[in-house]
Parts: sequence; C-alpha cells; structure tokens
Amino acid sequence: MIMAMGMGIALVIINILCLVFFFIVLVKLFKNEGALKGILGFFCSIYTFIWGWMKHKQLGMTKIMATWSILTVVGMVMVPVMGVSTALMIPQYLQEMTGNGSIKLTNLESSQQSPKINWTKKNKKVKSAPESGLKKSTPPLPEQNADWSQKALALWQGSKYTDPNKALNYWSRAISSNQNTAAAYSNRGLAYQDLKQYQKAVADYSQAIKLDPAYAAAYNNRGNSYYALNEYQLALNDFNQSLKLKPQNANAYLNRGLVFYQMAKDAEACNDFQKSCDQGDCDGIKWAMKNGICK
Amino acid sequence: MQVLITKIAESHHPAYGQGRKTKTSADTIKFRLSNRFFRPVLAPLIGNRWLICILAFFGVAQLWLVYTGLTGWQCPIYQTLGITCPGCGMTTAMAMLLQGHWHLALQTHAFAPVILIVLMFMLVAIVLPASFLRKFSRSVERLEQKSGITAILLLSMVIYWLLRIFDFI
Repeated sequence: MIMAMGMGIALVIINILCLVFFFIVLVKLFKNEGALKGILGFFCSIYTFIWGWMKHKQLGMTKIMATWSILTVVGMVMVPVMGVSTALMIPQYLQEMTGNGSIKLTNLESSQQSPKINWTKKNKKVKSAPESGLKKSTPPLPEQNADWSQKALALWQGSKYTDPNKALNYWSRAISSNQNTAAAYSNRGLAYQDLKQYQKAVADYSQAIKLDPAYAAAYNNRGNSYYALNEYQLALNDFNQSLKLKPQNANAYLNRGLVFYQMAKDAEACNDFQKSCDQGDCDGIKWAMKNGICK
Repeated sequence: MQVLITKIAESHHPAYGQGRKTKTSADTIKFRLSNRFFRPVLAPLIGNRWLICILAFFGVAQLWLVYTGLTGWQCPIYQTLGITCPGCGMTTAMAMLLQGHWHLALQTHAFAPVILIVLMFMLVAIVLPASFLRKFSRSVERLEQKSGITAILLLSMVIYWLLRIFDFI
C-alpha cells in the first residue's frame, strides 16, 4: 500500500508538472499563433506539444520541452508498467491507510457492488457524488468477448474506473459483441457516471433494468445518478425498489438515508443510517451524529 | 539607385507616402476580429509536409494505442484535475467509428467524425506530389478564409464541451 501510494504521489507530481508545462506552452501558442490555434492546442495537447518542439529554439523553451517530454514518457510508462492508476486515487490510498471515513463513505451492496459516495456538507445540504458501483459478479462471458469485459474490469480500482473513457470503450465493445447483458449495461453506466454524464448513465441503468427487472444493483446505481441530478424523488423510488428486491443492503439504506436527508426528513434519514450500520456500514450514522443530524 | 530605394521604402511603409491615412482598415476592431476569425488554421498545417507527417504519426499512434487497449497520450487536464477537456474521449470515439459503432462514437464525442476526416485528409496530403499539395493547401485556405469553417468548428467544440461538463447533453 505504501509503495502504491508513493508511486501515486510521484505520478501526481509528474502530472502537475506536465500540466504546468502544458499551460506555459499553451500561453505561448495563444500569443504567437492567435486564439484559434490556441483553442486547437487546448483540446489537442499533442498539437501543443509538437508546436512547442517546433518553436523551442525560437522561443527559448528547449528545457521546458525536454522536461515535459521526459515527464510525459515517465507518466505513460508508470501507468501500465508499474500498475499506478491515476492521481485521483491518492485520497483513496490515504483513506485506506488511515481508515478515516468521515469524508468518503464506502457502501458495499449485498450484490457485491461497491459504490462510493463523496460527502461535502453545505448548509443543511450534503452534496453527494455517487461515483461508482461495479457489479463484479458478472455472468460467465463468451470466450471471444471475455477480453473486453476483463479489460474493463481491470480498470476498476477501489470505487471507480481509473480511466472511464477506456472503460466506456471496452464495455461498448463487449455490448456490441452480443454480450449485452444487464451487468454490462450497468457497468457501462458506471463509466458514464464517472464521466459525470448522468443522463447517459440513467439510460444504461434503465436498459439493464429492462433486461433484468430483478437487478437490485442497477436500481441502486440509477438512484445514485438521479441523486447526482438532484432528482431526489426518482432516486428515492429506485432505492426503495432496490431494497424491496434485496432488503439486506447496507449500501441502498445509506443512499436512501442521504435522499431523506436532502428532503429534510432527518428522522427517516437517521433510521436508514442506523439500518445501514446494523448491516455493517456505520459511516453514515457516524457522520450524521457528528454533524448533529442524529442523536 | 536612389529612386529605387525610395520606392521600396514607400511600398513597405505606408507612412512614407504623402496624403495617405496612417490608420489603415487593419486597425479597426471589426477587421481584426473578422481577420482572426477567418484566419486559416488547417491550411498552414497541410502545406507543411513534415508537420503533417509528425501530426499524422502522433494521431495514428494514439489511435492504435487506444484501439489495442494500451496507454496512449494522457490528457494533462484530465489526469491532473479530473476534468475532461474538449478533446477528451475523442480517440476512443474515433476507435469506435473505425469499428463501425457510429451511434456509440457519436455518444462519446460528437465531433469524432469531423476529426477523423481531418486525419484522413492529412494522411492523403502526405503522399500528394508537391504541386498538388500546394493546390490542395490553397483550396483549404480559401475555404477557411471564405467560410470560417475551422473557427466555427473549434468554437462549436468548446460549446459542446461546456454543455457536456455541465451535463446538458
């Protein structure tokens, strides 16, 4: 864990430096080539990089370009070779090391699903960003399609995809290769959710539910997306349905507790947090007690 | 010889001539804006064979890396800040397009077909003879100057990106 965190921190530093160099070159690109090429450089960092090398002597930024190049190569190698995920995983490493769950709550659903919810208190409102929930117990996969699903599953670390765009690509390939199972749609929904494309996530979860109406995890995931869209009543309906299908579900209780909290129904929220705690996840009730929501 | 020098100076410096306006139309804001908006972006790229070779090499390599599931060029904005940039998902969408998944590709990035066409143009431009390449570059330049299509596309991409990050689409 310490090794992973150390490499993660190294990758964070590399990424930050790459970003700084990128912006330095981008500013020069804007100044020298005008706004249009500047915009082109903004959404195509490879163009900025190539332009930087073309003008490095003229603009005196050879050292910047050389350092940026080395850091980029190191960053590209670190991810697949050393198994380092992304810089965004650092809070998770820290959380796992310290065991402190006051900010991030991990909800383990009984159907082996592991969504994670970020909480940030803002007046009497918790802004929750349910980030994930992967059904790891996928059904047996056909030989030819197993690769894409396995590749997608390999991107799942902790509570989210390390690269949601890739995960989206892999799940889409799996789906288009006749592996259009409810789990595949639900998992692709999680990739959309990681990309904060909640409407598309909802569409995928709905498709998963259509294929398997008894898929409690998909209801829970869709509830999370509705929650992110501030559609609390729809989220509540989904969490209710998820609990109806799978009553022993700490995750769904915790999520429903959050919805009740958003609806200013503190008593019901506390009740759900307590039920979640009874099933092994006490982070919700601890947080609520700490913030004076529950007694 | 003296006359010749004066003539050259005149032709290069409008302020030398008597009775001329020192403020040209190029100084007006309207002209500057329209000039920048219609300034060719693709044509200078296409006109430079070495540059297209490098760009096409990077583009094809990135596409191949994503297509085969390897790690390609990482977006510095997404990797560091976790915010998608206007180009994030473009390679994935192009890989999907090449596999024939049009619907999914458009869902991932609506501008993927346009960029794929541009990439194809670049690949074609590499093998064109010098005279054809010049003609091709001039044609693209005229198109960009007349229609402002590159500027429109780039600005549309920025708007599309804003709509995506605020989850309107």
